[in-house]
Amino acid sequence: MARSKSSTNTTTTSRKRKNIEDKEEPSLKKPFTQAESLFNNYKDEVECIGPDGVVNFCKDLGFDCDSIHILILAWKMGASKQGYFTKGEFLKGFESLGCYDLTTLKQQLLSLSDKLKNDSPKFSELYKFSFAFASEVDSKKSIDIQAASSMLQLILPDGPHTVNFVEFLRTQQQYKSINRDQWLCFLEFSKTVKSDLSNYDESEAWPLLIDEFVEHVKESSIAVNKEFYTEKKDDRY
Amino acid sequence: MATKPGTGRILLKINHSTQDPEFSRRTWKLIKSAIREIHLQNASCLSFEELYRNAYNMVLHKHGEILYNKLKKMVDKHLKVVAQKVSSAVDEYFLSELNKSWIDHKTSMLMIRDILMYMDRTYVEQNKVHSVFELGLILFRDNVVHAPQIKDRLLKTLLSLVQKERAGEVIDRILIKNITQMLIDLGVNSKNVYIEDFEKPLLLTTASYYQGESQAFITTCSCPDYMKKVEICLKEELERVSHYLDNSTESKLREVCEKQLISNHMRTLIDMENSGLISMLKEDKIEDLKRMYNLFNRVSDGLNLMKEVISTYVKEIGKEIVMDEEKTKEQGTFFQSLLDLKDKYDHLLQFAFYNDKQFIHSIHQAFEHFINLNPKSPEYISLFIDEKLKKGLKGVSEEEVDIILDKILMLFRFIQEKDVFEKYYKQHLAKRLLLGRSVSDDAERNMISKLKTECGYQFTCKLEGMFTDMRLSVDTMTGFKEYIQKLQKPLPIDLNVHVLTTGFWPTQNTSNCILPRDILLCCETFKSYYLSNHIGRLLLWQTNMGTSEVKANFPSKTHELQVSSYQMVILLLFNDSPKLTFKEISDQTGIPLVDLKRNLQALINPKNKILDRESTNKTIEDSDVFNFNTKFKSKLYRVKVMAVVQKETPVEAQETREKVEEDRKHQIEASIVRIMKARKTMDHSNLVSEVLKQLQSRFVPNPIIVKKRIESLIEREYLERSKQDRKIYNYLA
Repeated sequence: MARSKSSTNTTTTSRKRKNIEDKEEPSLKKPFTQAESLFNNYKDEVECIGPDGVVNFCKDLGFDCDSIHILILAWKMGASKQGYFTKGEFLKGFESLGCYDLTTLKQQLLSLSDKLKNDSPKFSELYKFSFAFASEVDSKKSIDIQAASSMLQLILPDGPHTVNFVEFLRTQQQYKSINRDQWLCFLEFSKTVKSDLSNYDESEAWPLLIDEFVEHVKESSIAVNKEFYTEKKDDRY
Repeated sequence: MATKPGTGRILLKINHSTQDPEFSRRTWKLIKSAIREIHLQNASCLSFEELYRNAYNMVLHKHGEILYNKLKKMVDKHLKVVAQKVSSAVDEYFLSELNKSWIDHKTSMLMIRDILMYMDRTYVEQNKVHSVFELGLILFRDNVVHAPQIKDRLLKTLLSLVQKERAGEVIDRILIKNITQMLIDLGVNSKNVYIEDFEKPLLLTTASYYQGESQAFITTCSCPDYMKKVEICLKEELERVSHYLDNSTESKLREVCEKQLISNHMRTLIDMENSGLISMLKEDKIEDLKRMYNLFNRVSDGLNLMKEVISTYVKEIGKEIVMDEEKTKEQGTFFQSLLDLKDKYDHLLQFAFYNDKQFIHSIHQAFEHFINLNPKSPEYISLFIDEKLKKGLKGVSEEEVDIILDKILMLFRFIQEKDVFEKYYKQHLAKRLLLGRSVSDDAERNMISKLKTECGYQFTCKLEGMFTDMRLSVDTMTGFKEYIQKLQKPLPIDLNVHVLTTGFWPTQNTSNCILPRDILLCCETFKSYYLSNHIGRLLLWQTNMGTSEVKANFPSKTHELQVSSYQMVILLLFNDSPKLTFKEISDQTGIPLVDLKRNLQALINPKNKILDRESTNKTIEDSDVFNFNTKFKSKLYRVKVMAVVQKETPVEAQETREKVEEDRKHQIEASIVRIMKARKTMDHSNLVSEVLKQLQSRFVPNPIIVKKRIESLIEREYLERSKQDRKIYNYLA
């Protein structure tokens, strides 16, 4: 999850964050002293936990940086960028989860990730958030193929199409990035279309990317069948 | 009867006297002998009045039943004798005998009916039994016509007579007419007797007869001959109906014949080798085609089958023309042959197929199908028009021009990629206008207005803009000439400028070539003149599109050379140095390499060899050296250097294609936004089909591309997917 970024970029965002935070500070200050001190443990820049701090924070929390739990935490914090937690985000996250230390936080996150498995609307929100979170473009309108693939594996590890789709993204040449619409439709695709694609209907206005993916899967499965068939044939003679 | 008040008593008296049992026997006896006389045709000696009175009395005195039954018995007996007589007649006279006894019987029954009229009025009505005459009919039917020795014989005789007539013999039609009429009459109030005893077997034998006959025809005849025979057969059968069959038989008989003669053999007829539908089409056999149309029109599905075969055939032929490499090289013949094909089928439609709407439609579909098989068709149409407008229409009257243009337009309608056509038409029109190649301005405008009515204002507004530019340029030039005169500083050359509006013309942003100083001066003069009149405009010189006239002094003679502006620039270099390499020319003129090579090719063309090249390679190399050809000779004073025919190179074709694709993207998006703006929300498939509908006058977009544009619009937040249903889009204002 942690990614290093050019420092200029970082400072500008943190400064922006700081400004917002300054306004909010008076009302937030008192109740969150515990969370604030936690924040101060990890912050490595002014009012912001940078990539190194995040790694340490995850380690202390007992989660992998690339785990669904950290994604959920980022979601709850409303983090705008991977690898960074601003003070405002950090405190907001603790507030909304109702936690003050690492142990309760860990428990919260574990139970939350279990709950999300059965709460489709909430999960959709998390999924929607994950797009903006993974996007490294300022406009948050697209994510590159690489980031999209790893995010998909993280958030939909058991999706019926995830493995194939990631593989398809890796091999195709046409798309360099994925837009929001494609991203959101893939969740619905994973939810509604069976793993054998038998109920897929190409007239149903799926984005072209998904049409092409289905095409690709169908073709390659035919190819596999053929191979299988010729192998069998070879065995006979 | 009696109207006096006293008659009641008289009636009573009679009543008393008739209670005498002898009365009825006596009266019947009288009537019986009268009927016998009638049967013997001796009715003239009888007194009708007396008989009527007797019968009246009998009925009046409740002896109606006796009278009715006795009459029945008597006629019955008589008819048995008649039947005997009829059946004993020899074959030749059988029918006439039957007919005679029928006529006699009818006469007798009419007389008997008259005598027993009172019985008909009262007894028959009260007891709901058959009237006297009907009784006669029924008895005749049962005793004579249906007599075992007569029934079959009658049918056989009738059928054999029909058969004889079919074989060409002359038969007594009136006799048969009488007999069939008899059968109809015997049905009393229906035609059952006629239908059961005669019509049904007739239809059966007809079917089997024509089955055999058609089988024989089809193996021996060609398709047209077969159809002629069928026509004759059908005509004869109809005559038969009108002569001696009942009218109701007509439709049934026709149906049977048509089934046997046409329906059962349609496929064979159409596919018949060397004379079937295809070869009729090939050889323009209008009469035969018309015959086939008429015959097939009689049966269900006949025309559909015909239509299908024609449409497949047209598709095939068209495909041959369109995909024929040889022909497509020569655009003229390519298109001419398509026009010919169109003419041919229009002619057939008009004269053989009665302009049947379905036929027109299917043939048009076939044309649309094959014309669009070749992606170059739009270009070829434009080239064909180009050729016509350049020279093909010289000396042709206005009406004829109109006809030719209309025909071209007919084919144009079949083109799906009308936007590609527009691109090429623009290119070709630009060349015609700038090089003054157009034969007639009227014809040009005519074509534009036709395109306008066909495709709408949008399609032609740029083309019309080109004409406006040309007109304005003439005015500008007059103004410029006056300006020069006022300047009192004559220009070194005569400059004529066309000012073209960007966007209307297919201008390319080519890097300008380096103009010689004199010309540059002229250009600058013009520029300052023009910009002083039109503030805020930007002039860019399109040197690749101009032409020049150059005076060249060859040792033998002075010639005036008509060349392109590029060629002029090249030639002027040789004023300073007699020898130049390709590289040097390229460097000093700055003409793009492709154009430079093209223009040099034209200058070293053996026909008008103005430059000499010290190499005989086919292609021009960087190191090639060019000389001014001092040995140039020509009979003419003015020499026209033809530019090497600029056939579109694959690269250029690709570029045009890409431009078209790019334009389409915008058009599709514009169309989507237009629709969504009006509808606000719409589902995917409706949106796509609406877009296709809106754009079909220009091109037929691939639905996948439409989908791509929709996605792009979603990404740019012009649209969004509905939160409830992914298939529905909302318009975001």
